[in-house]
Amino acid sequence: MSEIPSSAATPLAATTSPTSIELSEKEITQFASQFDPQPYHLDAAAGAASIFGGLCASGWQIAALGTRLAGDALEAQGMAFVSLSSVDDMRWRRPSFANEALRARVTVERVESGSNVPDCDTAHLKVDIVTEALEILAVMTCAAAIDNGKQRS
Amino acid sequence: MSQIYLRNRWFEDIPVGEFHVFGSHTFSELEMVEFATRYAPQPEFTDPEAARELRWRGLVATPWHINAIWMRKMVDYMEVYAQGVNDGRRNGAGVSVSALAWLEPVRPGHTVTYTYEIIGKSDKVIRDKWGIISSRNEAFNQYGTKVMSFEIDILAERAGA
Repeated sequence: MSEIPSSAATPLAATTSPTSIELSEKEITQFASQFDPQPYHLDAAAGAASIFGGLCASGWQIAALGTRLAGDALEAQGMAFVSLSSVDDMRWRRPSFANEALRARVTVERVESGSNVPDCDTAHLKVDIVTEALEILAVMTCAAAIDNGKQRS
Repeated sequence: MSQIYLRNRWFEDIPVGEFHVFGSHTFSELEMVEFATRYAPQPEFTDPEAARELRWRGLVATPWHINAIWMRKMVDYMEVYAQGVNDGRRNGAGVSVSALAWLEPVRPGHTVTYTYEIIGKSDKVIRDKWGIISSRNEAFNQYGTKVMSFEIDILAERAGA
């Protein structure tokens, strides 16, 4: 397993996911009616009247999509992303509205052997979930499980 | 008969140390596959047959699905206590999450029970109107094993704001 020192003198480069995902209003309200049925995630008028200023996606939908995109960014670097195992810190910076194309910008800070996910190593990441205009919607400091190739069968 | 209103309260009225067991959910294979197909398309989460031969020896719920259900249970719980309330006491947006860990796999048929405890209140005032409430949230399976935990800061409207 290669060790990338977190004290590297040069800042580590961020990789942006080759993929992007756009949430339609329908997908926002579908997720919300299933998992987060609060007025500002379900209804345009209620969203406009809320602290968010418009119908916006559940923060959990953004976290899940951002994680999928972060996985794509890791795959593009040749790392076999399996799952997240922990999140030290996640902040929602601004609401995510319909029809914004999202990408994940991922920096791998270090990789260490072992994970609570079987047959995986741990990659410590900084993930920014961004729009095409590179506005930051959410930021995560997290640990991802990366397949270490030792799985039997 | 007096009733206890839990959410229908201002920031000032929510006591640190308050503890709630607020909901349970039994995860089905179908809903796990549906969630993962969109958000975590790895075979460990989407393909019950293939997953048997993979790292967890069976399908497991994708991490954010466990948290999405946390959110649903929380909204349902708050709705019960916020009936008839249509002001700032009703909805508090989430600001940030910390110390989130998924500790054990959740498999089809597992029943997960969610708890939270109020662990802190910040002195900060957001937009002249909102205070910040911190809570520790935990989820346990039917064997009593902790499967997930995190802390979250949410906004709660201050009285007279």
